[in-house]
Amino acid sequence: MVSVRSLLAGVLLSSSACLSSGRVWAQSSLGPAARSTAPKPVLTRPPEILEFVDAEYPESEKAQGRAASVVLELAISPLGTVDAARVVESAGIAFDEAALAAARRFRFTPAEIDGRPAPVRIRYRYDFVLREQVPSFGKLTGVVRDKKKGTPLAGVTVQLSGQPSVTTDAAGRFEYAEVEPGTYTLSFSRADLRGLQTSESIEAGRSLEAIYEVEQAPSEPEAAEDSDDLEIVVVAPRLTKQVVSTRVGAEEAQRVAGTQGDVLKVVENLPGVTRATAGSGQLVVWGAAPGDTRVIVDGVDLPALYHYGGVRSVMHGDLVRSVELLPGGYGAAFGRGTGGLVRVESQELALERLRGSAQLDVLDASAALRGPLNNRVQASASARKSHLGWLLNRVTSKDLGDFFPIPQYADGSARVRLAIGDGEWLELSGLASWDRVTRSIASEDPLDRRSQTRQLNFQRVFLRYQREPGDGTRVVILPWVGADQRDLVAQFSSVASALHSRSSIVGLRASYEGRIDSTLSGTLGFDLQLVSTEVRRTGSIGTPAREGDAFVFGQAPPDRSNSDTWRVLQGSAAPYVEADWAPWGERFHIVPGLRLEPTFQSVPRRQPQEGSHPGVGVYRSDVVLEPRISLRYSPTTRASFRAAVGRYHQAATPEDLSAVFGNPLLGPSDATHWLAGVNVRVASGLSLETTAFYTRTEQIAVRNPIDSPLVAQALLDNGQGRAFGAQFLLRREATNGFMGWAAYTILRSERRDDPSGDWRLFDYDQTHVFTGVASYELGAGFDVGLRLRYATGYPRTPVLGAYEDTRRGIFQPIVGARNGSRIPDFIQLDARLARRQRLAGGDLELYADVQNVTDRDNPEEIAYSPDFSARRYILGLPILPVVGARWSF
Amino acid sequence: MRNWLLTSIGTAALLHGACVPEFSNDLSQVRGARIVGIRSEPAEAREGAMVTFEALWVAPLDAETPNIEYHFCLDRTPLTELGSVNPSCAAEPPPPGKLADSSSNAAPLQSLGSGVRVDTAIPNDACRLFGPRRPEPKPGEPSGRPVDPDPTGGFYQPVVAWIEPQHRALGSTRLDCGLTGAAQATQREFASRYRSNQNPELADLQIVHEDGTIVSSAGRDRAVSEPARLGLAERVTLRALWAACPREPTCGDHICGEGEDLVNCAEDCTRPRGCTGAESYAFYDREARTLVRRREGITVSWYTTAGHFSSERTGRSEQDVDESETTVEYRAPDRPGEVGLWAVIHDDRGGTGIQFLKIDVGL
Repeated sequence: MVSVRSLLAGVLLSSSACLSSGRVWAQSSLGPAARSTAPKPVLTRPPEILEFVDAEYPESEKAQGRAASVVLELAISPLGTVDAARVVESAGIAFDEAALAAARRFRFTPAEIDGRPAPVRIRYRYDFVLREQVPSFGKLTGVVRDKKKGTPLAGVTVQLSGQPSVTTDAAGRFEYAEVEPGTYTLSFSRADLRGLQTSESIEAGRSLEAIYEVEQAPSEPEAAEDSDDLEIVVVAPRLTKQVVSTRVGAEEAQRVAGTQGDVLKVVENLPGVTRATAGSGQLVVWGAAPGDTRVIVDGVDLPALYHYGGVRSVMHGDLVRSVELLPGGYGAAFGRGTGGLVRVESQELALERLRGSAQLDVLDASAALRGPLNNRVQASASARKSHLGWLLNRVTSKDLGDFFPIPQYADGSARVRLAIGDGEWLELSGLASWDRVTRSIASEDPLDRRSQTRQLNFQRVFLRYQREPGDGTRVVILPWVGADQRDLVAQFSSVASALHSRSSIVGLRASYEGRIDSTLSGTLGFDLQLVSTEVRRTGSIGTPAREGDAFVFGQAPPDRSNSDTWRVLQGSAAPYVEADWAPWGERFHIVPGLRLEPTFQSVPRRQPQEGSHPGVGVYRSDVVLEPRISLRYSPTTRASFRAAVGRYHQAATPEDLSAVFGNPLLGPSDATHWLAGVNVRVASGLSLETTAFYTRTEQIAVRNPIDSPLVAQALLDNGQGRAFGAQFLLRREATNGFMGWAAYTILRSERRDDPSGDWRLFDYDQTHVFTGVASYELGAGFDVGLRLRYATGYPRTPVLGAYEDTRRGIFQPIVGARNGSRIPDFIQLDARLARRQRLAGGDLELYADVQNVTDRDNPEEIAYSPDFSARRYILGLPILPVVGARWSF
Repeated sequence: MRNWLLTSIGTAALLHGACVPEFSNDLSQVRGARIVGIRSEPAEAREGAMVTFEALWVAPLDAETPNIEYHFCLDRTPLTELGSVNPSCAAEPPPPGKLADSSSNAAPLQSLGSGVRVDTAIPNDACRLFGPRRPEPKPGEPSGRPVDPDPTGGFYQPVVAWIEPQHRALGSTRLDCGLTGAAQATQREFASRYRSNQNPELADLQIVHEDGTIVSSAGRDRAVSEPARLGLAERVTLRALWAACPREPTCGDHICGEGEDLVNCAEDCTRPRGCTGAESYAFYDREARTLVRRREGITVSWYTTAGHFSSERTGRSEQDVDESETTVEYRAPDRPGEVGLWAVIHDDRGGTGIQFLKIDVGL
């Protein structure tokens, strides 16, 4: 329902014109004689209103939606006060009385007749206009509760900066009914709480509801050693803007078993995400290829979420506020990906004091700091470096790393924020990540010598300007630059292959969010990205294998070899608009969006280089239109229904645009997402989310299947994909020290390499994926967690026989239907035990994260004997304890 | 503490590869008739040239000579195929009526006959089907994509050989198609420098006992040689030797090497013959777009009817240019009897040869 706010518009009827045209009845003390002989008095200065008083809009009239105008006659004294007022043109008694009451309180500048102050009468029309209320305030309601027990805390003094304090009631509730838009510091205090604060952004016309969990101060004996261990945790998502998303706060994520405290690794455990092969670190969301899911950190694209091996994420967990997985159907602000979206939000920079941590375990060492430099400047920094390889070289045989791929990685970040004014700040951030994994197998047999080195480095620098002037608008301008370097060098006997890719990226995101009225808000944005990539590749066209290849693990790579060097320039500039229309209050939202993305792609060589002939380039431009819409309906506070549909595009991979290894004419692939679901709050702190989905992807780059493909057409964009299924999430918010969730996804993901071909299973299809996560605070600083995972095995192509290639001295498999069989199912139980205690002015957490506590043999891959006459499974991790320590202050 | 650390780190190190299963399949063990190489003579030939294919086979000593069928594969290998040959050529042999004759490309396989050796001509379109020349275009379409060369710059006409009922092997003849895709001057230079491959040969196969005594097989023949003698479970070193090829072409070394021809070295090239070891050859580096001189690597595959080798295959890579021998440790069987032992030599350009040695163990 449209909320209406009355607005009284007082209109002084063209005062100068009215007064000079004789509609002024000047009071004069002159007698009749004088009147007849004296010159006619002249109004030399009209009265001007000094104080206008709003009339109260009559409730009875407002309720009926009536507007009106009342014409009054006002007698203004030489002092400017209203001596008398009467109705000249009535609009009804209610309007008349309201207008008269207000007008009698007006004050004017004295009118002058012949240069002297004099009483005058004027006519004044008072317009009562019904206008839709443009909200200028937001609302904040919250519940404060005990972090350990989950019980509400009454009597807590809540202070929103610049606002009067309020106190929580017996249910722990508090409310600020009218708050001007902006970013505020929210603090909580009670005798047993100290100095707790967080920040909140209030939007005009929005009601912000949140739950704040605080730890009560320890009892007296404990107080001395635990005095600093107090921090607010906001456990509920603030504003639901996406139809389907799962958001996990940092503290919750750190407690998940199997993540070794890495906040971002929690994404693997969310619904819609299939289990990645051990050590791959890939993100497969709703059956999309790993490269189709984008990773966005504070609005900036990253090429990967995890380091090689998947053992760590590329961003220090202390600097992550939350991570949100949007498996599909997301809004118009993001594009360039046909799969899901992972959004990482940086931790707020500490306002009150310096905070930091140092962590050490067998995998790596890391440190992070954040805090204020002065009143206007806050900063953070982090660094991490793996040392597993270094340790192994000192405690085991030197060549262990030659046989086992030991991931080496490092990452770091720095951020400085400068507050320019209230609700306005500038932030400069930098991120860098380095990964390398090397494996080599020496052998007396020259044909069996193998080595492989993979490397991925990337850097990002971005400047973020944000302004929230307090009128309900938000402006964000985010220019950024980045560089990616990828290397893959492999040698299999005499067959060498190398792929080197260097990308330079320039991006700009800008958006304006505003509220048009109480029912409608919108975002207008611009998303630009330019990528220049130089690729150098040598080796076989079949190495590495692509999705859908009839590839058998351990199979020797093809020995047909070629080489090419090419540069690709790709760019797109996408203006987008998105509205959030709630025509019947907060219960029903319609969120239409449109993203218009003109793209271009330039490749300098259309045909392979022959001789010294100069190359002829290819320029391709497309205009892609991506309409998206989502609906949310919440008939009660316990249930909500959601549905969305949207179009998405993704540019061709630069590595596929070679005239030798790919096809320079490949265009963008496009996808459509359909989804619908329902959220039900089963009980306090317990919710159930269900989402059904269907995605369809077209124009996927696939290998040219014919025996004699045309030149520069090794790949064609004929591929199609589809995925459908449902995901379920039963989630228990942290209460009484317990938190957890059970996520189950059932899906089928299929591909075909030709629109007329048969569908086959996608390489990353997993029919059933279940993840159960639970964590419980035992007390005395102990925290225990469990994670149970079950997943259907990935499809694999069966081997029917083999023949011996005597020239190469190898056997080659004869394969059956592509992806016609599966690896057996995966079941694994992980556990985490942690204990926190005070140490040296901070907290020391000792933890043991044990993967596969039952030491179950989980097949991860099918391995064949060299002649493919026998097969066995490559097993996943045995029981693997990762023990470490983390000190924070 | 150290043990805990080792355990924790060690298990962490097994992130990917530590759980790879071991297979007991010893491919050097000869349990039945098996083709271990297909020798083409000459080892490198032009389109239409006559070649002789000889299957290099191993079998238990009491086995009969197997019946071997030969076929040319006539189907190109699609880019979707990661194996060595079109899957239609690697499947079970089709009935005789489904085979292509020499003038038809309708079926994937062209029968070449059967026996230990067969003579045939290389197909006239081999360089288009399997070489650097673009295949014949279909009506209204441009010509197709040429085949990529192997790491030595070579292209191969595939040959499939079967031993009934189910053993199949893939061999080939290296095609002399010249160089394409390079500048004309480079092509001319390549034509003047490149010399066709010569099949490698094992010059000697020696048994080196622990006391240093050497038994040489030079001059022995499979049919008439006197068996060497080994004790039960005796451990010896087997040494395979091949000709040491000159690093630089030298006129007068009886090898018509890289860049030598009738004009500048009639002495070596009147009856052109290559080196039977690791030859040098001209190679077109497609990345640098220049010609470079490279050297073949040599590998030796070991087979036996009894006993065990320390490695199924040994050899020298391209970098070991001055080495012309390789060794392997061999442990004789525990039971007395005659043992067959084969060493099959391969060079990087597809040439091959075989050497047989009969051993009396404990007799």
